[in-house]
Amino acid sequence: MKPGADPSLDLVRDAARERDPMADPRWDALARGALSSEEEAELRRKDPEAFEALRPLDAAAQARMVSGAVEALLPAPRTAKVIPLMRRRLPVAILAAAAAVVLAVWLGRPAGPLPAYELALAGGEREVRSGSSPEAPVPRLDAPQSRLEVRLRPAAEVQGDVAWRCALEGEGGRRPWSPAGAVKPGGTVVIAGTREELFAGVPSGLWTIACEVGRPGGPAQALKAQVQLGDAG
Amino acid sequence: MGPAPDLSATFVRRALDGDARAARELAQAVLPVVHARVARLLLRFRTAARQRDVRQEVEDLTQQVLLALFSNGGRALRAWTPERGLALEKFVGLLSEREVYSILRSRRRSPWTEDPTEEEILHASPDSRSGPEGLIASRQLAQAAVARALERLSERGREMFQWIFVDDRPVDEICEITGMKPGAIYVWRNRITQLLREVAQELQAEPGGPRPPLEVNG
Repeated sequence: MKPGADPSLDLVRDAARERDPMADPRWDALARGALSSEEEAELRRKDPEAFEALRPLDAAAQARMVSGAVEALLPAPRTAKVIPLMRRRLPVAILAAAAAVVLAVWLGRPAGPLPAYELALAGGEREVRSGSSPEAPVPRLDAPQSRLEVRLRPAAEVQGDVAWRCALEGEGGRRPWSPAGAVKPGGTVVIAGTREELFAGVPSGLWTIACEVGRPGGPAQALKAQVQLGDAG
Repeated sequence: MGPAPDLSATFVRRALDGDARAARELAQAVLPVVHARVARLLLRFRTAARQRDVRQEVEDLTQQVLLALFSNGGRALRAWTPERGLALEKFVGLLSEREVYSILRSRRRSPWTEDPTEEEILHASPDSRSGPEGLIASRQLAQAAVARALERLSERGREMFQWIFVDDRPVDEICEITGMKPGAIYVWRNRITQLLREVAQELQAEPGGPRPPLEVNG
């Protein structure tokens, strides 16, 4: 509705703005930290809840959010690296030579058995968490842009290589699932994306995300959590 | 924190292509925009956000939106081109609203049972409206009509009223945020203008209610 197209609607718009506490442009300035203390106090009196929502983020929160964004964009420091559990068969001679090199490197690094891991899901279209616990609520993803984050989290910080793989289990059986993931410093494996990125071609329904994590070539821990893919995707 | 970076296409490209310092500056620069849009949308639709402490909700959603902007190689931000006429801040604001709206929408118990049907959309057009032209011609009547119309509108209707009639947002922008078709937005516009017409007529017929003004467009 462009101003002037209908004087009645101009009056309606003005009346609506008069009764809308959020129409004050100073609320945006508050989020930028650009108001004087007097102006901040005035807005706090005007609408305490809005003030609470829009007061500037503190330095720690800003640093956390900015670091998270940069880490999502750029590769994390390589304190650990992802190694697929499935490896191609290689000639024995190459394997033997590689084994010697690996052994030499291995002796110099603190790569003992992994601590216990847990699988945690965050996101979806409900405010829920799901994980290895059977009574955990199940995140639901309806829209293609709904985001889900899968974390394989160690009970204690991990040094050295971590290998992982996942599959999906549903009513029709098990299907391969190879989303992009990253091992973060400390050994947490993070898989994150939208429904269309993570579950392209996966039919709607209740699915179990079945992951395994372990040292390359060593025993693996099995972890599971459920996710519901709605019909709207 | 240093001086604000020049948010040009070249700078954004450099940040997304792996310049860690530029990436940090870019994230720092868009963070207040994301924060403000997230908070505004949460406050507009407080019913959906009321389940949790508002500050915690704002911080969680702000972080989630910022991550979405920068993940997958910054794919969402790479879609920005200044030639399309949107400044980066506005583009980021729009993406933020779309993300938050999608999250809030999924939390509602009876989602969108009142959304326009395909048939309604088919018959709607940008011009097929019967507005309150001439019926609301004073500030007093407009205030009373807005108050009464808002009482009768659902949360979804209030969203549409805000975007279409108060914020004057273009239809394509509303579609971008909500994922609705333009026809559905026209249907909502028709419904709300019809409602305004009805409440204006009611108010004028009520004894002691706002009267048609003597002044014109006063």
